[in-house]
Amino acid sequence: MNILNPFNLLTSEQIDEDETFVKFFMPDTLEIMEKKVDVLWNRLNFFRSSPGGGKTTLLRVFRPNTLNYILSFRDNKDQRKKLVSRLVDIGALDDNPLRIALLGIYISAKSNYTDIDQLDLPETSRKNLLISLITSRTILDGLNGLAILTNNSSPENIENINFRLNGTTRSFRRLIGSERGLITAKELYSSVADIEMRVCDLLDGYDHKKQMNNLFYGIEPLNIFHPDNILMKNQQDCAIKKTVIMIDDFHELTDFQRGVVIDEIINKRLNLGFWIAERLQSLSDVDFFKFTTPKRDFTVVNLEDYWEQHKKRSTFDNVLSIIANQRFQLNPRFSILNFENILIDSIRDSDVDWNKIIDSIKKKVNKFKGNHNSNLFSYVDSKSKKCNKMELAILWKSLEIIIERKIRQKQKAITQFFAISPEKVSDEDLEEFKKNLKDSSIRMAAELFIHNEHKVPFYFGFKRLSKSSFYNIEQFLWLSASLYDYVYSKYIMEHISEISPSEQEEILKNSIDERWKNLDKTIPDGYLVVRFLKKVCEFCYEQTYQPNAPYSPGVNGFAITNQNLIRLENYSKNSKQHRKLKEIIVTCLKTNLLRKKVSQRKGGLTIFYVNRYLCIIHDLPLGYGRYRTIKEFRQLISWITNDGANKI
Amino acid sequence: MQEDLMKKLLTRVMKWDKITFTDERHYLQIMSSFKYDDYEHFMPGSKYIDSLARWLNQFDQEERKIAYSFIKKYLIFFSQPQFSHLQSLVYEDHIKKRIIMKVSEQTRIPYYHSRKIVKTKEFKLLKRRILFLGLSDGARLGTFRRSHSNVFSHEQISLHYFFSGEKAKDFIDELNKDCKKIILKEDPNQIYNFQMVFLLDDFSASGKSYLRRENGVYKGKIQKLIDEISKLREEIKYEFVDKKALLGLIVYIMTQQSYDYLDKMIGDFLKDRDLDWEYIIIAIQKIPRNCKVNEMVNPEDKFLELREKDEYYDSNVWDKHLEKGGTKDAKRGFAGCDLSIVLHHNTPNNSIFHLWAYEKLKFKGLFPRVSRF
Repeated sequence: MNILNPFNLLTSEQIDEDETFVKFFMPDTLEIMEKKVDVLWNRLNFFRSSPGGGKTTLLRVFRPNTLNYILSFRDNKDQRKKLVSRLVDIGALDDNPLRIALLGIYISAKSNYTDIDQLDLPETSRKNLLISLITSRTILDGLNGLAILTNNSSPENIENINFRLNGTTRSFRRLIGSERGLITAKELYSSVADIEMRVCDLLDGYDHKKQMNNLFYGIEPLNIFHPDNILMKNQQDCAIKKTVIMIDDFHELTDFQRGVVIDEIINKRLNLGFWIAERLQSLSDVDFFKFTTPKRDFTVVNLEDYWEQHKKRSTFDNVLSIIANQRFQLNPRFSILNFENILIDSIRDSDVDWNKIIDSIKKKVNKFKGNHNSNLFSYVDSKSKKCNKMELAILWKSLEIIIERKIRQKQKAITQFFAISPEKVSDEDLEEFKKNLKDSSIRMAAELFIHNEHKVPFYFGFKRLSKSSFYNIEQFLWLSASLYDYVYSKYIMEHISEISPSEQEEILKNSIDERWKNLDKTIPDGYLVVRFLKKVCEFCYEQTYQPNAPYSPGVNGFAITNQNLIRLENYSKNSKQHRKLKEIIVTCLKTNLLRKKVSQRKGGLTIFYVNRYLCIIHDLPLGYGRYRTIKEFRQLISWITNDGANKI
Repeated sequence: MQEDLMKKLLTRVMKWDKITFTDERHYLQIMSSFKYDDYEHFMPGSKYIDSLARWLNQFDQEERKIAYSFIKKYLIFFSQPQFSHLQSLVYEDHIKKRIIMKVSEQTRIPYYHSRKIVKTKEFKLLKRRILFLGLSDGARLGTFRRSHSNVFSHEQISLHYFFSGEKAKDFIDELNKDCKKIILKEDPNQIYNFQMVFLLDDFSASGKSYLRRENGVYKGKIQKLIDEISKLREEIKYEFVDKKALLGLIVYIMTQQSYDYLDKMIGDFLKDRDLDWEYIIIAIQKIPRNCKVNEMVNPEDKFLELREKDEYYDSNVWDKHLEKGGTKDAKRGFAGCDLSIVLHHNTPNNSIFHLWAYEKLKFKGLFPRVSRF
């Protein structure tokens, strides 16, 4: 396979061959399905994410040709074993004998469905056309799937499969010319193909009012794919026990069409699984500003939230590691190397002038040294023999932060640090001080401050790369692509296949800068969105880099109280500025530039975290750091206007 | 791995850091595999990156960036698929419509009823009365013939423009047989000859090889062809080409300079030979005047000065052929055409010297030319 950069092979749509797809697919990602096994096969399930979240990839695994390939491929035994095991657990495969148990029917809403809404027809007619087209294409794909599973070249050649018509309507049975309650696959194919063609001709033609008869008026015909209705004579290689209908790219439909399809699926309650994959952009603004989860007739999985909320960091890291290695090792020069390992994850003492940094920090903190608190300083000094220079620098910086905090706690500071005859630092205070020094948030803040002040690399190593992916696989891939390019060049020039921390940081920042520069061209209201995000990041930066690090490890989000969100919703009906603010925030959410988290603290807050890749170029922390609540809209509005704050 | 070594060599020549090399590597890899590696006259075992590294190494360190930038921004390389595409346009886009127009005049069927016209005997007859002649092997009339085997007869396509009397007679005999089949009429007095003669070639930058005046005498391929056709009249005792024929010069890639030059020259020549022929020049891909290096290159890029430096030129390249171009050196190529064009099968010497300089010279070209001599 001759690929310039295998990390740029991002989406599963770009991977044509099943072989390549299965090779790159991570079995662990099926964990999402395992959690939902009880509702997968008989309910409507939404799979949502921002672009590159893995929706289409997940659906593709369950398509007949992929399942067929999984059963037959022998290249990587370990991977096959894992995949098969997961698929058996989910119910897509039987294990004894090993055979396919699922009919996965796949259609994409990227086709000409939206043309229907352009026609000058009443709503009912447009609804009927949409349902006809979707239903007929679903049936045709289902028949195609059965052809693949039974090794037939096309549905027209399927022998030995018949369908009972239980659960379908009389009008459907009349339409396909089968009143007897049974139909062969061939006959079904021929009738439904004709209906699909008629609808397409109608769309392509000029007279849309003619030939509106003899269409599907509901999705009941899909009941033919219920496992009890599929009669297969030969069940050696597959025995259908489950059927799922997968509609991908659902966001491509119009709002009206989305409503029609969802209502139809919910109301008709067919005993089949329905999986709908859509991008967050298709959600209404209302969905984004909700902070409670009402009971629904369907389940929703936000893929990025899933990985994050279920504390699946390590699993997700593992998934990313394997994805990265599979691509990395495609290059014969790196076939025995590990992508994680080439990203050096520690700074060598010799790479940085730590002594200079430590001296500079010591100079600041020693101003506060006295007999009364020498025990604190001795404690830190004693650590110098036990840790490396970087650790020591972090310790001293942590001390500096703690001192700064103490300064702001006036009363105690005066007695502890500044009084002419201060009290000695007690043992209790010393223990508290030691505890503070070990506080990971303070240490992380210390490391970030050292990075910011002394240009010591911070954004390096596989763990931090994984964090910056923000639980989005596509984001991980494009970040890694730039690292891959660099290591390839380095290998050619110097025969070295490792990237130092400073190199990693430089490459990531350059790559992200490039994307940041072009961001305004790729999203709606791009110019305003970029301006808003810039201000958000500047705000987070100011809050983070206060000398006492009050919000350690740092701020990378802002929050709005739920009450204010309701106010924003109301104000936006009459105020252009509020409306614009709301639109900008929703656009950021839809494009994964911000991610929303709901908290019950302080009477209910919605927190908006900045995408991690933006944190890299703005020197912000990568984890779910702290946030600051914005109490006044004018501050937010000032972030999108050019002339500073505006009154409400 | 060989490729890795070549890239390493290039980074050493250019003194690139890793970040710059990472950016350039994509460009180099894509352009090499997509186009430049297909150049047919690299040394055995050598490909574009290798040639580029050696070429750049000839310049002083500070000038290598200038030379590299010139190649990246201004090189025009015609690949084999591009040539095939240009050739595929000859009949459908240029010749067919002319036949349709002529038949429309004859039959008074409106020209836009093209389907109707194409079905007429007049169309088929006129199409058969076309003669294709190759002015060089670059015209690839072999592939033209094969790709149009259901459109033209083999007996109306000749790979070169020289004709013996015997061959001419064969062509006329076959022509007459086919024409009589088309019109379904047997008339012993009716002799068909060629009504349209199309001369094909791959590239023309100055036009001088086709037709020029030296000391008041016409010379060149077109002159030779026309004079041969006149001689044929004596040999085969009838007009090989009709008295009111259309002479068409079709060049796949042609500069505006050549087009303008020949447009005048052919007209004067036909008058001189007292021939009542119509003529047209068809450039499938025309290279506009502003594609000359002098016009294209931004002076700030500093390549124009580099081009004129003697240390990157070898006067041993000068020969009587280049002398015909009328310049005093070949730095800007034959006849000072000053192009940056490379054809996948050979670099024309109308391009600047630095691109095509022969392997045996002290300065070697990036895409060394195969010498004719």
